[in-house]
Order: sequence, then C-alpha cells, then structure tokens
Amino acid sequence: MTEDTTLKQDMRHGSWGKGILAGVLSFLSIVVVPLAIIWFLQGLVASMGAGDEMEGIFNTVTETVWRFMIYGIPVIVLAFLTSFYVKGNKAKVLFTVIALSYSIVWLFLVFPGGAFPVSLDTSELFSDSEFGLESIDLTLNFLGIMLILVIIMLLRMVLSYAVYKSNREKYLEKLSE
Amino acid sequence: MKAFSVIMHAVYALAIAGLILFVALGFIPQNTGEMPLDIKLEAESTYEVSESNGILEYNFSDAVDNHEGPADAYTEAGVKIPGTTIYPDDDASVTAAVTAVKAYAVLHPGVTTVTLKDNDGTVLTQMMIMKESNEITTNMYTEISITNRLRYDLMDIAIGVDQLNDTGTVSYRVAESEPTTIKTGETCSLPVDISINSLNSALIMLTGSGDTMSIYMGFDISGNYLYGLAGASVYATAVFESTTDAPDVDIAATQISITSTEPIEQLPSDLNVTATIGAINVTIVNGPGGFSVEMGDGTVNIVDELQDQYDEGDYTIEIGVSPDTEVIELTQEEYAQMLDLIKQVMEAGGV
Repeated sequence: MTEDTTLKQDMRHGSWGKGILAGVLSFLSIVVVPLAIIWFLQGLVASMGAGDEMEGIFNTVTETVWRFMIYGIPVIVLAFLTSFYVKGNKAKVLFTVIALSYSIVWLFLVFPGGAFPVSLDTSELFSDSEFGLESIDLTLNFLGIMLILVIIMLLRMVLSYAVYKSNREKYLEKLSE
Repeated sequence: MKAFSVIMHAVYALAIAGLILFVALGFIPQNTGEMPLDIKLEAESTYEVSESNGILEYNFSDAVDNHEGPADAYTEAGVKIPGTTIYPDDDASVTAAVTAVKAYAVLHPGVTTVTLKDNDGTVLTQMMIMKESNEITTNMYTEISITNRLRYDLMDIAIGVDQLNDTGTVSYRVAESEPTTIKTGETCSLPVDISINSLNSALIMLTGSGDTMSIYMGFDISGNYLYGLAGASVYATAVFESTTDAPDVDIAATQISITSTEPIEQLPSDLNVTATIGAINVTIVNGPGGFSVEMGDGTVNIVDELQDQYDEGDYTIEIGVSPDTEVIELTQEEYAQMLDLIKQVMEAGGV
C-alpha cells in the first residue's frame, strides 16, 4: 500500500516537456493561427476589391478573433499547467477543472450572449436602380449550441476526476519508486 | 473506477462526435450542387384590372423594365389580350397596354386580373407591386419566398416590414407575418401586404436628415434552425429612391408647413387629403403642382391638442370636407406613433 500525498506535495511533481509542448501548441492555436486568419482575410478582401461591402463582416470577424486571442491567453497558461501534471496527480484535476471552468467563461467572452452580429453596407450594389438595398444587419444566435458545449465541458470535468481516480494508485506507486 | 472511467470516455467521445455531426450535417445541403437556401423578394406580375390607370401603368412599366424585355398581358385563363405588348422604357406602349386591358375588361366582365408574360410564357416579377390606395393609405404588395434545401426544418420564420426615416432613427411597422415553419425541401411564400399611412409617411421622412424624400423600408426576417439550438435574424434596409428635392419646411408650435415644387413619386400622384384631428386641420397634397403638407392654422398648439385627444382615448381622424367626411379610427399604437413623430418634427424644428 503506497502512502497518499496532498495537493501541495503533488504540485511539486510534473513534466516540463509535456507542459511546454502543450503551452506551445495552445499558443499556436490561440494566437498564431488566428493572426494568420486575420492576415489571410485582409489579403482576400484587398484582392477581391470588395472593401466597403465586406468591411462590416471583416471588422466583426477581426474583433471576434482578437477577443478569442486576448481572453485565450489564460488558457495557454492553464494548458501548460494541466499537461505539466500527469494522470493521477491531484494538481492535474484541479487545473483541468479550472481550465474547463475558464473555457466556459472564455466562450461567452468571445461570443457575448451566444450571438455573432454582422453588418454589411450594400448601398453600392443597386446604385443604378430606383430600388436600393442600403444595408444588411445579420445576427447569428447559437446560444443553444453553446449551452451544449457547456454541458460537454462539465462532462469533461467529471471525466478528469474519473481519470484521476483510475490512475491515482499507479501514480502513487511510481512516485514511491 | 476503471470501468467508470471507460464509460465516461465513451460518453464524452459520443457527445463530441454527435454534436459535430449534427451541426455539420445541418449546413451541408442534401444536394451539394444547389444553394442551401434560396430567398427571393418578388411577386408575380398579376394585377386587378379594377386598379386605376396610374397604378397599372406604374406596375406594367416597373415589371417590364425589371425584366428588360417585351411582355404581353394575359387573362387568368391564359388568353393573350390584343394590343398589350409592352417594351422596356417605352411609356407609349405602357399607356396603350393599360388602355387595351381596360377596354378588354369592359367587354369581358369575367376578367378580373391580368398577368404579364414574356414571349416564352415566363411570368414577369416585380419586387414591389403598387396597389390601389385611398386618401390616407398607400398600399403595396410583395412576397418573400424561401426555399429550404437544408437537412433540418427552418422554424419560427417571421417577417416584418418597417418604414424608416433616412437616418434609421424612426421605425414604423407597416406589415408583419405570422411565424411559419419551412420544412426541409419545401418552398414557402410569405405574402407581405404593406399599408403606409400618408401622414405618418410624410412625417417619418421629415424626421430624418431632411436631405431626401426617398422612402426607406426595413425588412426584418428571423428564424430558428437546428431544432431551435441556433437562429438568425436579418434586418435589410431598402430605399425607394425619390428624385424629389427636400421640401421647404416651416415648423412652429401651432403650424407645420411643408412645401415642395415637385411631387413625391412614391406617393399617389392624385393625393389630396383634408383631415381633421381634434381641432387640428391637416391637408396633404401630392400632384403635378408638387407636394405639400399643412398642419394647424397657427392658433392651437398642435402637440397639446393631439395629446389631449390621445389622453381622452379618441384616436379618430376625420377625412374630407364637411358634409362629405369619413371617419378613420386609428389604433392606439398608430395614433401614438403619429403623436411621437409630430413631437420629433417639432424637436427637429427647434420648437
């Protein structure tokens, strides 16, 4: 029978390699890839010459991507911490729960109210006609899908505890070696 | 605990895969060669022959110009009416066609509607059909047809039409449809009857920047998808351009006077309304001589008088000159809208 450890004791044991790898991967997906998307969109809009009509969509997408990046910075840190600790470590459960809880908040910070509003200036499209379409304001609402994602994240929290429990003994054995 | 962990992993994986599959399938049409949604704002060019010559001429001309090719008028039985060939940008052919239709209807009383078709038999369409209007209301008609080629039903599709001013700060709902479900693979056509109160309409235009007398409309479409998990609302602002310059506007607490030397194209060309609201007289004229609105005689505070009438629950407007008068009962909402618009006009005029 191996001796149990406290959270404080568990926090001293981790894998720097796994933590750094997870942090770098998170940084790539949360900062680098979105920046590349903005850069790609800027080029696409410029090459299409659809400046005025596309400006509304482009601005909204850019704002959303920036919110995703800025509010995603804590997720990078938490990704490092959750991967730094191995299965069966109490600290891993703690940081997984914190990371998932923050991810729920993050989701609602990126898409406030579960909505994505877009405005289009279409005044130039029918400029020769007696009838003109001045603008289109579109709001996509996906609150229902976001709530399902929240349920999945809560499920993931339960899963992280199950993983902890089933690997705890193995972890303690390895620690005592 | 190991078994519990395995079960939780399976449930988690299934939940993720199920959600991704459910959402992804929702946005891939059954036939990938077609657009997932097809939305059209147009009505077939079928008109009541009892409409006035002016209304028929406007509609014939608009439909043929829009089609950019000649067309003829057909009865509902499919009979081509002689002498009704209309050419784009040809006012003479339009006038002749209307005369021919009217003459044919007199000889054939059973003919109540006519439809414009091109040489191939295709029915012409119009974005907005003008309808016969009375002294105070302008009527228009259109249809919004939506074809759903997605895998799930479109739910609670609701459509509303507003009249706006050019700055978008005043909105007046003129038409609304009941929420409808469009099943997958089906096309649903939602009729939109638009009635615009001429007085409100003129006032709405004046609450804007005052640079134009164009009519601004807002089309409000909303609905849900993915069994209600997601939804969208679209607000499209359209303008019916008027070449009429902004009129001279003279605003005082006891009198509003609007005068333009040119008529407003979108209002009836023979509009001549004399109305009385409480102690306030209103005249609205739109014709070859221009467009004008005269409200109040310079002795009674307009807003106070209308407010008193509103507070008393009297929402009537008397149309015409005694003894040939007709009483129109506005709803409380319509009256409140009118009162609000007049207050905004006063405010804009520095009163």
